Amino acid sequence: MVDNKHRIERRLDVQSHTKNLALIRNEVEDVASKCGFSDADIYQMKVAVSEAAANAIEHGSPLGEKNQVHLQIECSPGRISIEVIDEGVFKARLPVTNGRPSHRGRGIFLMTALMDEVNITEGQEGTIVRLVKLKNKESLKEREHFPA
Amino acid sequence: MEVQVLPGRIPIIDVDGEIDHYAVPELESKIMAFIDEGHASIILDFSDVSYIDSAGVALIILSIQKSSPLGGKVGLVVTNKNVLKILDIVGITKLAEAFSLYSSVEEALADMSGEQRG
Repeated sequence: MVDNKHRIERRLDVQSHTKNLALIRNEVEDVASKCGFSDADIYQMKVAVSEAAANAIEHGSPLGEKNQVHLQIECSPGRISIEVIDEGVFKARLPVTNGRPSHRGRGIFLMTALMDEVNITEGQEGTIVRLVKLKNKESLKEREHFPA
Repeated sequence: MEVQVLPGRIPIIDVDGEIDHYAVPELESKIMAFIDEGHASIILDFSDVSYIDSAGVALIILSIQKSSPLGGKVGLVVTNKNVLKILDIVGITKLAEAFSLYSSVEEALADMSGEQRG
């Protein structure tokens, strides 16, 4: 872990089990709070990360609880980037509902609705879901229009 | 997560804590068993729920799907603005039939009891 005034980096590796989702959310809350994000922003990124981690646990862990879910958080003054990395092999993933309401599609929808950037990279060694949230989006927009 | 069932003509299922992918299976079996016992209408009291994600949303929809064919209704009490925002984003607050959103248990009971009498 590297904590300084301008940048926070943190990594968390947990057993692939839904009981660890709260642990993952707590880690996100801790870093995002130190980075100065608002409570509403922090709540939204917790939901998005939890959805990505639930996906990793349910679909990206071929060995079940023997697999791990990896969390890589980087926060710089204007943005936070959170990567959720699983150990699954690439395969086409279609929602299987068995007549039940599918929360799979809803989870990905929530991620895109709650974050500013969602990037999913499927590789041979696992899937990386990269979630980015920008801080003070209004002031950033103003800066784009009125560069210093 | 803690679950407490308050029996009555319209039973209240009082849930505290976080409703996530870990908590939902236990909560789902409790709610489904309850509807199966003949309680077509239920009130889900999420006043003290601090967190909900897609698994919780799916559970609400599943409850509506289970209750509706029995002529029942699901009343959902939510006060946390972050939880409300998630429900709003997924569009669940627009499911007007067989589902109502309330800001207190008292409001839910008054409205749903009135409907049952009528």
